[in-house]
Amino acid sequence: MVNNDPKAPLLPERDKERNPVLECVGLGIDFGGLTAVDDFNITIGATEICGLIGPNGAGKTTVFNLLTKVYQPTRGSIYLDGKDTKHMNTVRANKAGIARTFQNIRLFKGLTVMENVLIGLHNEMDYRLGGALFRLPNYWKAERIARERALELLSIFDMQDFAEHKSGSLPYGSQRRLEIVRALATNPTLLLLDEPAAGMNPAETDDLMSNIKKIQETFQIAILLIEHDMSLVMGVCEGIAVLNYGKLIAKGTPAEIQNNPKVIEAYLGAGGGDDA
Amino acid sequence: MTNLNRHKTIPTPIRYLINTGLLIALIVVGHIITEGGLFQIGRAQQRIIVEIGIFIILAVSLNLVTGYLGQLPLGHAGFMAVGAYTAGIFWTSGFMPDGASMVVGLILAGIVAAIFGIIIGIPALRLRGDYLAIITLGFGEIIRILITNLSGITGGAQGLQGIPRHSNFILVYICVIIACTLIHMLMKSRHGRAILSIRENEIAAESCGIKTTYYKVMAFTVSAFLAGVAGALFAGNLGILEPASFGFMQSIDILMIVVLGGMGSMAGAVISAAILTSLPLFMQGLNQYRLVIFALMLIVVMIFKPSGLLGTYDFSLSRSLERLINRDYKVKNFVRKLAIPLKRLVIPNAPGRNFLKFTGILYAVVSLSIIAGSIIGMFNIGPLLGVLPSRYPGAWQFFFILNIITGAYGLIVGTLGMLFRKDVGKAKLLRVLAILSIWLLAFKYLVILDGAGLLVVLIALPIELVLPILFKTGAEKNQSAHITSISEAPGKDGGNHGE
Ligand SMILES: Nc1ncnc2c1ncn2[C@@H]1O[C@H](COP(=O)(O)OP(=O)(O)OP(=O)(O)O)[C@@H](O)[C@H]1O
Ligand SMILES: [Mg+2]
Repeated sequence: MVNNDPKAPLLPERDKERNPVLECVGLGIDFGGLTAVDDFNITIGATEICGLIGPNGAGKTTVFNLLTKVYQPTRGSIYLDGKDTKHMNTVRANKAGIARTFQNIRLFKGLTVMENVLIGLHNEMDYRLGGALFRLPNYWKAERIARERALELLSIFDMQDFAEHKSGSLPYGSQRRLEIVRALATNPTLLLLDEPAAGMNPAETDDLMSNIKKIQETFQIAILLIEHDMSLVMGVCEGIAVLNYGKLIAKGTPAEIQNNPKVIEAYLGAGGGDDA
Repeated sequence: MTNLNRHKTIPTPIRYLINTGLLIALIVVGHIITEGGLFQIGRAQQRIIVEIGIFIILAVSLNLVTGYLGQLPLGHAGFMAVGAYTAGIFWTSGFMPDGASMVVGLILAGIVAAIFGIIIGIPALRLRGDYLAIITLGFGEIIRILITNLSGITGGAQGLQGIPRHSNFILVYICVIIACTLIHMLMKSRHGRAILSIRENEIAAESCGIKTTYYKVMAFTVSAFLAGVAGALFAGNLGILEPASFGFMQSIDILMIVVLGGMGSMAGAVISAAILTSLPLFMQGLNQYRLVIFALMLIVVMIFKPSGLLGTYDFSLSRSLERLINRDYKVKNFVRKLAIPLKRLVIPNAPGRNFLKFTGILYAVVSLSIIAGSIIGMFNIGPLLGVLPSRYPGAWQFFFILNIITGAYGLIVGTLGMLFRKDVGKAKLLRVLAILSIWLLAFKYLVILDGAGLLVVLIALPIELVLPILFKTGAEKNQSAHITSISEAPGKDGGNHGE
């Protein structure tokens, strides 16, 4: 059965009991005269893997920037675990459980892989300035635990051997993976991935797919991902939302989306396919 | 995993000990050179050596903001001025007895400058882009004009005179060490990484939950604090303050030190401060071309090494030592090859245990004689024999006490060497103690500059130099029984060769 009402929430069975991790109601933002996102509604279950797709310039990245409070919405609200994020900034949103990767990779390129992950673990460490300057026991303890944790997280992508390499010198695919690790380090409840497979070859993409599933299973978190690679989206997402010109045009399971005439039209009409 | 496990590291306490030892040695050597009367150093040179220290503090503190935080302030001289005048006024007021006044004045100078840092930093750092440069530039000029016009308090354009000259070598370089250590401890912590993350990518830093404004203001404030302290030392070095010393060009001079040394490199800032500040020393007569020469240097460095002399590289002694232990087999092998014949020379065909016993006894005897020598010196039998200098009896006695301490340590290592020669685990402990002896060695050299002690050290020196290496091979031999295979198997990282 095709669910044509884009507003209807649609959660996996296992998440029905729990609060949704994210709820957007009537979200919208204007840049001057341009309405980049309008009337965007989405509900994501606590452990759901959800896809956000749409042609180039549809406003997908803008949605991420709204969720992470890089932009404040012009209209509508965002609820994280039921809490309104109205007065939050990016840092507070992160502490409230949102972590993200970037479409154009934003690693701390001059720092090592380990340092990148440790910066992700910043708020997991608890020693204060005095603890650092005088090297108090809580400094040593927190640093040791953080380093162990960082290696553990890196081992998801088998990157622990590269811990002391400069992150900027890693190959492109590894940089994307490191961004995911860094985001995971902040201990999120919702992980936002902006085109994680961009620039990866098919083998790497397959790997990434299984790793996304693995992350969802081991950390029991929700993942919202933007992706143009349809094989990945269809293979890993339980629910998919489709944006076109800033508006939600369809929501549903992969099978429903594949057969949705509006979606097909949006992609063909935009003159592009999934190879954009 | 393999990569990490195989990497041998120097235990942290030992790293800290090595560094502390070297720093103490630096202070002592520097003090002896500049003020100990051993060398003919004039007042002008002394002042420049002190000035180098002051500019090192200024450079490393500015580097915190430009190099590590990635912002561009142009008013560092303003904070320096605030500190200089705070301390100058406090010291001349005679508010406290001299010794206490000196320390309180320094801290006060830092605190007042830091308060200015917070006041300027909060509005300026909230905005992205070049606002900080503009606002700090304005701040520097305003401070200078204020100082000129508040002549009732600051002495105005005539200058603030009669400031006690507190800034001797020891005080300034202790401040240098504290400043560098402070920044090092800060940067190698989650707070320092937060500061670096802002330089690297502010948006990503925020998305990692880092309060960017907070950390910007923190770095800026620490930087202002240290600039204030440097200003105070500057006041205590010259004895007179003029507003003209804190103009825009002074800020640019400090910035140039940082840029030349490499933004983000503390070692670079130190080296470059030393070079640029001592330049006038080597080019008297060329002084009117100072700016031209500086500018040329800057252009040359920017052409050939745009990231500055050292880029973002920071020197770490322990890291270098670790590299030596882990990767640099050429050096390691060379030292070992050198050690083996030496060892054979000492005791032909010595099996490991006996060797350990031998070095243990030797070490204990040498240490005992050092102790004895020092005690003799302490009780001033030395002058009777004509071997002790008479100029610094107090200082020498201090050295003798240190000498006895290091001697006692040697005795302990020696005794342990004899006691635990059968125990491989304990032999490992000895290895650690032997590493300690390397830095104590540098120290001891200083300590025993008197004739009697020197003889003893001449005997102890080669043993001490070679001891760590010998201890190592000695202990390993207990494990694997054939020494040549170890010394000629560089790829296998020593240690656990099976039987
Ligand atoms: N800060 C901004 N100011 C003005 N316009 C913006 C801004 N950010 C995004 N836009 C506009 O909003 C629209 C949506 O952009 P967005 O980056 O969200 O697209 P996208 O769906 O992520 O596309 P792509 O698949 O190419 O990444 C575009 O027309 C873009 O030009
Ligand atoms: Mg995008």
